[in-house]
Amino acid sequence: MVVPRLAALFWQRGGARQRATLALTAAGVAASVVLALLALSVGPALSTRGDHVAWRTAVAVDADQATAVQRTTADRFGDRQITRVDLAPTGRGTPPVPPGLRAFPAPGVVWLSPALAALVAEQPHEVLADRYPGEVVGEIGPIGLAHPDDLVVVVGRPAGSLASSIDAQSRYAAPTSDGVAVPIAGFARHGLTSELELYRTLARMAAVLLVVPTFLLVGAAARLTAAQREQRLAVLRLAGATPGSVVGLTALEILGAALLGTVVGLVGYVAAVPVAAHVPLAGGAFAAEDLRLGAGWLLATLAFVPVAAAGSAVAALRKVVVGPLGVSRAVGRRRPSLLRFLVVPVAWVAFVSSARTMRDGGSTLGALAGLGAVIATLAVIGPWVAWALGATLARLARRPATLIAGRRIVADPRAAYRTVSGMVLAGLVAGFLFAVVPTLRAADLGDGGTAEVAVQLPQDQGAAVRAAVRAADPGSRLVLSDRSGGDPALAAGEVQGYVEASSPAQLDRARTAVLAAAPGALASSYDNGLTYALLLDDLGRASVVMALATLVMASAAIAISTSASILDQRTTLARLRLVGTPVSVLQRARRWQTLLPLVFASSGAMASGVVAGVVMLLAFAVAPERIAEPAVGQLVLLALAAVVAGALVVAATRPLLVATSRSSPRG
Amino acid sequence: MSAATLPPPPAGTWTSAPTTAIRRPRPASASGPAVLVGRDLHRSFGATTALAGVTLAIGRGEAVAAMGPSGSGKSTLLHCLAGIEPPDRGEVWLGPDRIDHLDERRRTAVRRRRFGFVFQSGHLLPELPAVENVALPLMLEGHPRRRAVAEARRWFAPLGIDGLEHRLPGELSGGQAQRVTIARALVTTPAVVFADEPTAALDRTTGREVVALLVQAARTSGAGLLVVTHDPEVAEACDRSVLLRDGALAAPAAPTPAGRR
Ligand SMILES: Nc1ncnc2c1ncn2[C@@H]1O[C@H](COP(=O)(O)OP(=O)(O)OP(=O)(O)O)[C@@H](O)[C@H]1O
Ligand SMILES: [Mg+2]
Repeated sequence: MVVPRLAALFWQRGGARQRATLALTAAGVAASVVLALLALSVGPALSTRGDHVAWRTAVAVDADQATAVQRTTADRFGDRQITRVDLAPTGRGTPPVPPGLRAFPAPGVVWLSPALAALVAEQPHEVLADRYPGEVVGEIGPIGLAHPDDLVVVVGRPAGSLASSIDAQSRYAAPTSDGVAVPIAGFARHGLTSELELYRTLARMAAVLLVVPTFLLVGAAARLTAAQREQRLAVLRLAGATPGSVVGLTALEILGAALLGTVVGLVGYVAAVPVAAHVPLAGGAFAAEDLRLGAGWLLATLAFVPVAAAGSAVAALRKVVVGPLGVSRAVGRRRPSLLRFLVVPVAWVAFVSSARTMRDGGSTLGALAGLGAVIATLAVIGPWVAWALGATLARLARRPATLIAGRRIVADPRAAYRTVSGMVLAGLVAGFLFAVVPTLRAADLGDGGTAEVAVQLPQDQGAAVRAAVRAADPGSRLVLSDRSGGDPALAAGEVQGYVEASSPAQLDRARTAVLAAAPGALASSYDNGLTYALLLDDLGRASVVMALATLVMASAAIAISTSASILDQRTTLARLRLVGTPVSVLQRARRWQTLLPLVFASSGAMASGVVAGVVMLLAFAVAPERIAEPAVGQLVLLALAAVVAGALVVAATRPLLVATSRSSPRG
Repeated sequence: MSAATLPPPPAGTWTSAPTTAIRRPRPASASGPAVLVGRDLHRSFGATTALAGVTLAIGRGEAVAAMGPSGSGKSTLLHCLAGIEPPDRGEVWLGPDRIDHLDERRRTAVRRRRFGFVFQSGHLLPELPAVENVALPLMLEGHPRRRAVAEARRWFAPLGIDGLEHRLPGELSGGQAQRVTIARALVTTPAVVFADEPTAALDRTTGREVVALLVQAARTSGAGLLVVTHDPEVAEACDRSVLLRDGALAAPAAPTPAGRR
C-alpha cells in the first residue's frame, strides 16, 4: 500500500502548520464528542427517571381484581411540586409494594422522600407537616424517585376510605387523572411521561446540532491539509502517484486526527459526567451512573466518528483534483442557477404542512423532517446569495480590497458560503430558540398571581373545614359549591370548591388546614406552570450552551477555511506582494470576503429560524396574537458576536497571510 | 502619482510590427541617463554566493537583457535591483533615491509606484477580469475605479488583445495572459520594468512576439527594461545584454547583442 507509506513520510516531514491543523481537528472532534455524548446520555437518563416515576401513574384494573386503590395528587409547596400518593387496601389479596418503599403503607402511616422530609422538618408543622397526618415510618428510596430533590409523599389510608370515588372513576374517561382514585393491582415499572419524552427529543436534536458543525470543521481541515501539501503532492503526482492516493492520504490523516479526537473526547466525556450530573434538568440533578452511556454507545462512537470524519474529508476533496502540475483550481464563472430558489417554497410548504399534521396528532418526526428540509434549503440557496453579494460588492467597489473580495466571492460562491456555513447553523438554531422561548415564557399556563387551590371534600365536613381555614389565616376562605353531585368525578356526598388566599404563602397554610381538618379531602393544585417554568429554564440554559458551542465550532471552521484559501492562493499572493500590493489591501480583501457572507448568511439564517419557530408555535395551536415578539435584542447581540468572532479569526490568521505572501517569489 | 498625471496613451498598434524592426540595434547614446543603478551588489545564501559584486546601470527607455547559465544569479540580480530582496552589500539607486536600505513597506511602495513586473506566469489575479487586473495598480495608487478601468482599457488594442477585456485569466491563452501582464506592468508608467523569463511558459513564436511587444511598449512609455532570458533572440531584441557567470558579470556591458551560445 502506497498510502500508509506516504502518510508516514508526510507525518515525519510535515510542517508544524500541518500538525497544528490536525491538532485543531482533533480538538474540535473531541469537544463535539464530549458535548454530543452528554446530550445523548440525557436520553437514557431520562428513561431511567421515567421508570422511577412510572409507579405514580396508577394503572387501572377492574374493581373486582383490585388489591388497592391509588390516588395521585399534584400537591405544591411554594413554587415546588410535591407528588402525593394516597394508597388504601381493598381488603382482597395482598396489595403491591410501591417502588422505593419497604412495605405497602399501613393506614395512618406516611413515607416521605428525603428531600420532602428535610423540607417538612424545617417548616412549622401548621405550614406543611399537618398535611400528612400519620406516623412517618420511612424514607422513599431512590428507585422510586426521579432525582434526589424529588418531593414525594405516600400516605397510607384505611381500607374503603378511597373507595368512594371508585364508582365515579369507572365513569371517568381518563382513569389516571390527577386526584382520581383508581383501583390497582400493581405498579408500573416502566414509562415515560410526556414531559420527559419532550426533553428526550430536545436532547437528541441538540446532539445532532452539535455534531453537524464538527463535520463542517473536518471538511475544512481536509481541504487545508490538502492545500498545505499541494506542492509536494504535485511532485509525487509527477512521479506517478494517483489522485486516489492523494485523497486517500488526506483521508487517512483526518481519520487519525479524528480517532485521536474521539478517544480524547470519550475520556473527556467519562470525566465530565460526574460534573454534568450536577446540572439540574427537569427539576433535579442526575445520578452520575444514570447519565453514563453504555459501552455499546462508546464503542459505536469510536467506530462511527472517525469513519464519518474521513468520509466528510473525502467528500470535501472530491472536487479538488490533483493534477501533476498541482491542484487544479481553474477559476470560472460558476454562477449558481436561480432555479435553486424553487426548493425554498417546496421545503417551506413541506414544513408548514407537516407542522400542521403534527398539530392534528401527526408525528413529531414529520415536522422535524420538515424543519430539516428548511435548514437544507439554506445550503442550497446559500451559494446563490453569496454570489449575489459578491457580484454586488464587485459592482459597487471603489477600492481595490472590495473589488478583489467581491470578485473572489463571485469566482467561488460555494467556497464563500462553505466558510460561513457553521455560522448559518448557529444562527438558525439561535433564531428558532429565541423566537420560541419568549412566547413560551409569555404563555401563562400556571396560576400566576391568583392564589387558589381546588378542593373536594365530604359535604358534612364543609363547615369544620371552613372554620379551620379561617383560623389558619383570616385572609383566606373556603368557597364551596352549594350543590353536591352533578360532577361524575364526585362521589356521593362530596362537594367541590376552592380555597382563596391573599398570598401563595397563606395558601400553603390554608391548604394544610384543609387537609388537617379533613384527612379524606382532596386538595389538588396541578400546575402546568411549574413543570413549564422548569422546562423554560432548562431550555434557556441549553440554548446558551448550544449557541456558544456552535459559535466556537463555526469560528474554528472559518479559521481553517480561510487558512486553506490563503495556502491555495500562495503563488498569487506572493506575486501580488511582489508587484507592490500592500498586505493591508490583501487583509482588507479577506475581511470583506469573509464577513460579508457571514453577516448576511447568519442574519438570514436567524430570520429563517425565527420564522420556523413561529410556524412551530402556530402548529402547536398558539393563537397568533399570543405569539410574543422574538428576542431581537439577544439575536442582534449574537449576530454581533458572530461578526466579532469572524473578524477575530481573520485578524488572527494575518500572520499566515504575511508569511505566505512573503514566501520566495521563485518557483 | 496624482490622478492628473495618468500615463500617456500608448501609440499605434504594435502587434503588426515586423520582427526586423524590433531587432534593429539602437545606439547606446539613445538610452539617455541611467534611471536605475546597482553598484557592487553582493548576495549570498548560506555558503552559496549568488551575487559577487555586480554593477549595472539601466538607462531611461533602455532594454537590457541578462543572460547566463542556470544558477548564475540572474534572478537574484533582478530581485536586488527591484527591491524584492535587499542585497547583502552594495547600493541600488533609483534616480536620485537610494532604495536598497528601505524597509519592506517602503520597498513595496517603490515597487508599486516605480516598477513594473512581468514574470513567467501566474501573477494575474485569477478572479479578476483582464481589464481589472490591468486597472488594479492604478486603483492601488488611489485612482478612482472608473478612470483606472478606462485607462486600462486603452492598453488592450495596442497589445493586440482587444475584446478580451472581460475574460478571466483562466480563459486566456498563455500569450494573451502575458500581454495582459505587460499592460499591467506598464499602466502606471513605471521607471523600470523587470521581466524574469517572461516567455519561458510560451512556445517560441509566441514568446518572441510577446518580448517584441514588451520591448516596444517599454520603449514607447520611456521605461527602462531588464529582461532575464535564455533565448539569444530575445536578447537580440534588446538594446544590449549582459552575461552573468557565478554571480559576476562575465563580460562588460556591451552595446551589441550577445553572441549565440
Ligand atoms: N532563497 C534561496 N536560498 C538558497 N539559495 C538560493 C536562493 N535563491 C537563490 N539561491 C542560489 O543562488 C544562486 C543563484 O540563483 P538564481 O535564482 O539567481 O539563478 P538564476 O541565474 O536565476 O538561474 P535560472 O536560470 O535557473 O533561473 C543559485 O546557486 C541558487 O541555488
Ligand atoms: Mg532565475
